[in-house]
Amino acid sequence: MSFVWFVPESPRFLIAHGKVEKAHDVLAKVHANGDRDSEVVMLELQEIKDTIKLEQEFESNGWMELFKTKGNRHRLVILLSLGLFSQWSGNGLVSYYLHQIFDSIGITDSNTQLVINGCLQILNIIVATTQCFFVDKVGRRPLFLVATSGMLTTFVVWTICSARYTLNGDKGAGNAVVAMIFLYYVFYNMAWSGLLVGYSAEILPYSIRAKGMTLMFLMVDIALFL
Amino acid sequence: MPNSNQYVNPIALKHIGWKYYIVYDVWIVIELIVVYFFYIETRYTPLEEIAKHFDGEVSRVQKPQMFCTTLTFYRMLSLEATPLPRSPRSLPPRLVALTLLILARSARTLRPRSTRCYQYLSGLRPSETSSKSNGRMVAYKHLVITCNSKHWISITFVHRSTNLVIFLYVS
Repeated sequence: MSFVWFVPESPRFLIAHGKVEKAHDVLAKVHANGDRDSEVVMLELQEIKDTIKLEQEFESNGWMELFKTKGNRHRLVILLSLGLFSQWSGNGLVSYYLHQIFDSIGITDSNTQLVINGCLQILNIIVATTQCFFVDKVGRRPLFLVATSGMLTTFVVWTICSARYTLNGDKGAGNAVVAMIFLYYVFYNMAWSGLLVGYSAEILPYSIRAKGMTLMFLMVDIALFL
Repeated sequence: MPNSNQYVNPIALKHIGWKYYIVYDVWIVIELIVVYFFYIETRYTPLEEIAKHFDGEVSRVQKPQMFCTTLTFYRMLSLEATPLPRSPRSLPPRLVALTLLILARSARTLRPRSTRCYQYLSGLRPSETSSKSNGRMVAYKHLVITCNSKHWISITFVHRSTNLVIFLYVS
């Protein structure tokens, strides 16, 4: 620690804070035995100056940056909806309140509930892992579209079957709900679990990536809290 | 995912039972609409270029990265060492041609429209580096030409589609 004071200040830091002469001294000392007119030193100095100047021009990124341009507002729509949809599409029902669903369709035995839930989780792993290999082959958009359409279809059938069981006591309809839950999850995992982070990160340019990801996860947490 | 619960679900499920599912049916339709209209395809696009899907070709520059080391260029260019005039406004055509050649070889995605780049590299001062030239976007922006002594000159600019800072040192 005590030797830190002998280390010369970084010329990049010095230039970024307007102390060009000091930076020149440091570079000369380190790279040219103190020769301030050395070509290498002049060159390095110019290179650092130009790069920092350019960097500073581009680093005007507050939070408002996310709303300023049309492109960034488009990104924002995607990020917020990704966060929300990934948690709030009916999958939360299954994740946290599966037993209520089972109770409502006449599967009340906790052992049976457990076995079905276990199978569901195994299926989740398999589908989500397989999906990774198709992101570049099929493309993101088709995955999202197929997944969401599939979720819609299965959820509608799920609703109808659940209603039939409740209204008519139709045992077959109750079992169909279980089948629909499995199918629903196949579709859900085709896009919404694996692409959530990957897609968010890739649509954000470096300058606003951290902020964008924060907003996406904020949306996830809000959705989970509701 | 964070360990949390959703508090609306159990209450709704308990009170309106299967009818609560209809809320989700409608909601997923909305999701589908949003996905259809907003989610764009990014397949086959290098990470640095995804910005063009959102911002068009004028894509804002990301935090610049050095494109190549100075010394590489120094070595390459000093083979063709030419004494330079003081003013960057009158760069010798040979030098510009050479610079362009190296640029074209170095950047995979660089497709310079030769005449315009020539004009750009040789004619403009930093204050004149507007983003449009004859109504069409030029390949580079934020061009800075610095002529520090009679022996060497530095050219720094940002390549538009890759957002890379390219630094050239010409001896």
